Amino acid sequence: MSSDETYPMFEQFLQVWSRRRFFKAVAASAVWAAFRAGDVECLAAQPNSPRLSAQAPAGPPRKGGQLVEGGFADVTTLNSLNTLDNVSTWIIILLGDGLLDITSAGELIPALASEVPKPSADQLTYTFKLRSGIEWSDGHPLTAEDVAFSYRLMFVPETKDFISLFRPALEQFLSSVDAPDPATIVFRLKKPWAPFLAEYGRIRIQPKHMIGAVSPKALNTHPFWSAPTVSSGPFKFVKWDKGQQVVLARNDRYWRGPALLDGYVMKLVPNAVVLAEQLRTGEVDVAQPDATAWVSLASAKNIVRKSFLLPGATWYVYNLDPTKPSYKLFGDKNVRKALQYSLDRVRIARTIYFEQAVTGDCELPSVSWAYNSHLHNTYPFNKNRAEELLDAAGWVRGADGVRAKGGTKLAFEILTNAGNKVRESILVAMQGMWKDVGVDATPRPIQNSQLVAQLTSIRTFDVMLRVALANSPDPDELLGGFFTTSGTVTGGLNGMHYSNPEVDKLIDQAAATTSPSVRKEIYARVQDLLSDDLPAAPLVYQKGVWGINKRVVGWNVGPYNTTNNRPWIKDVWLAGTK
Amino acid sequence: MLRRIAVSLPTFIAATTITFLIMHVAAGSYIPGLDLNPNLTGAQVEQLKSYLGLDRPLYVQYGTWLFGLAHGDFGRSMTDGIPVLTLIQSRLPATLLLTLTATAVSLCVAVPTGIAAAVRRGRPLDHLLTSLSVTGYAIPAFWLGLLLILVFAVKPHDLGLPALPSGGIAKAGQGGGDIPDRIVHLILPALAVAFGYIAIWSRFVRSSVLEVLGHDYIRTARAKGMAETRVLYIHVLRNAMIPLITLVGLEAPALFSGSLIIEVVFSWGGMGQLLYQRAVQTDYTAVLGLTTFMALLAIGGNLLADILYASADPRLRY
Repeated sequence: MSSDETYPMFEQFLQVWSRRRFFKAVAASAVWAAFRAGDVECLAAQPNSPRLSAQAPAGPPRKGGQLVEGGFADVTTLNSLNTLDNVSTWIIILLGDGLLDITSAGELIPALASEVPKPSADQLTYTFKLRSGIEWSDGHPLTAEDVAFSYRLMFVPETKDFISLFRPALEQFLSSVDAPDPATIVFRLKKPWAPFLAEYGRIRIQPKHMIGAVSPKALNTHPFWSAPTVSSGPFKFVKWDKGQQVVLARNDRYWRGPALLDGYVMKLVPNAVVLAEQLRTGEVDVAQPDATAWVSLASAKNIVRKSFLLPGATWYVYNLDPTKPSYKLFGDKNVRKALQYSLDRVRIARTIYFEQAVTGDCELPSVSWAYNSHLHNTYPFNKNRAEELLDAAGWVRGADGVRAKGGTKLAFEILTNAGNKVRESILVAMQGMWKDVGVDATPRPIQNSQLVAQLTSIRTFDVMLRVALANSPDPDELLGGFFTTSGTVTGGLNGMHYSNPEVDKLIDQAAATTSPSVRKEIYARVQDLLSDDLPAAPLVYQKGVWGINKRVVGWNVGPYNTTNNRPWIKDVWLAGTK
Repeated sequence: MLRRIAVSLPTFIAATTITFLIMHVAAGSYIPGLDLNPNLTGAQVEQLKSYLGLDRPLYVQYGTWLFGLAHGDFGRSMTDGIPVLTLIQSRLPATLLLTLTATAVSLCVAVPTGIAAAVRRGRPLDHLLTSLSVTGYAIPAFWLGLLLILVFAVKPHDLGLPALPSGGIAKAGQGGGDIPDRIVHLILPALAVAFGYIAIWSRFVRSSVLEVLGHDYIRTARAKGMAETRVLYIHVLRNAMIPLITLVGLEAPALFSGSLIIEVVFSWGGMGQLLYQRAVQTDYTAVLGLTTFMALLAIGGNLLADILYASADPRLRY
């Protein structure tokens, strides 16, 4: 192109590209660059991003240092014989072990016991052998007497004044606990009970020589539960500044060998945002922020992020008690199916959980060994199918767009615990999606204590959104209490009032069978029945998200191995600076 | 003075009654431990209600609580059974440290800037200080707190520069015996609390100084040939500071409540954070005890301000 041709073109360019346009273009380029940077940030936020480097190679393990773990809620008690509270358990497991423990995959492994026992031929007796040379932190030997003492506190009539959450189940199934010699413990059951080892073999053992002389009644409020003087776990208790921190120090007499860390601190912070900030600044070494705060940590160079599916599910449950008004709405299972079809759960997982959840169709989590991956009934988002089912069930749209049948509108309240922003957002999303098919749902967040009371005793709710996380790898924990008719009694967990004799029979049968393969088949059938009946409709399987400072080596959290079991904690060590 | 104290009593009763009623409406059905214990039967729940006195008429519950209060009993926490007074004792020092530091910082900054703005009324410095005051007054404390954390803790740490701690009263795992560590932890929360007060008080000092500057005795002093600095420090300041004493006294309870949000943002283990934690746990006996204590502080603060005012200006008598 000659210069004669280029000059007019340049003039033309100047006419079109005024100075204002030039600046506009520069501004647009800047915005685009910023957008791209954000895009990169978003990509980096994804769990499989190449920008997420693994923990730096740190050389040989180093002894010393204090690890700080951040959390939101305070410990309520250090009484392992009477708590299911996750935060309390978080500390309890560092102060002592049970006979057994579990791996991150949910496999039972021996802890104080030398091996995982097999049941006797009649499946009624379990004999545990203790490891030799186990000591409390004060040097006193830990024997079978301590084990028998701890379990007897939770089920024999002589100790009925000692309050234990485990008493109802243990009274029902456990016949006796004996310590024929210092290294042997014999449990006798009243009837075969497969969940026994996984659910009750991990209860932390307490020191008879410290609290054995205290009356069962006085023991309920004994100072030992807020400041234990001895321990058998990797750490010893130092102090608990209520609402602020719990401080532990290494127990040099730990049976697995002394921990590498000098100490451990559980530090309380007000919320996920502060938690993420403190992870960034190195004031907290490890923590579980929520999904949004976790995503924001993508740009923190000192943090490794980890996420994995948790052993639990987010459900919404119906009140199916025939005496309650909600039965008119939800008594027909086709209505329940329609409601499930009308929810775009993929969108919920993507937008509310920032991809830190996947949709689920089962009451059991996908990480469970008994998970049924071939369900006959699944409910992918299908608005047309939902409308068809509602039409067929006789629910007709009124002038206001809300469906009604025989003068009753398809309108109800859906409860969840107030303060949990994720769950409150889910309610709003569900409300919008249901509105599209002519269903009028009103979200109502209430206090968690009141929500639990609604499920267990009050039971005037219509629909409730809740999360069930398994502490144990045994499927009975999530299926037994929630879905059997026995759970409908006041205080039971079956607040849905769901009752299906076939489900009852199968769950009982599975609990009385020790063969895992047979149990798996039975539970698969249970899951099929539940997915057809839909008393509790699964929404998503949530992931556990972790931020871990790169200086922390060996923080091997996994689905079953987060806050209720950490057999790996003694090998955790600190490399480099924060 | 006795009359002034007598007036405080109905104020206190009204404050406690309103707090009691609000707490009852907000969390009347709370039973501790229920959220952890799904195995509780209906009968056990009733038993618990009876044990806690929640089955009695509201006025009886209030009367019992007030009777206990008259005997120095602020009640016991519903979640862990600890006496509220013990909880207060454990957290009050941290809150006092924060609020007193913030007050001192506020006064140290607000008084000179207020005087400077008044003396240079209408000039650029006055405009600048006025703009800063309005900005300071408009910024929400929690937002400022987060901003301070970002600027002085998170970003410097990201850049590998020395950073201030973003929260806590001391390094995790320590009790707080290390004075330099405590001071370092105090800087950001004290600044966040002080910021708003600097804005208010400097405006107040400015108006007060301007008012005094307009009085005849100042003109007389100047006419007698007194040096301007002497006029300012001997005549103006003393008279201008009297209303500030009242204001600081009146703001004392607000300082406590203002620090509530800051304590939460900075994980500062004081009364504010305690109140927040107990409110979240619906521990209503603890919240009631704590708010009552704060009401006492408010009334005490007002009384103290009155006393100081009277001693600063002998013409005033109550």
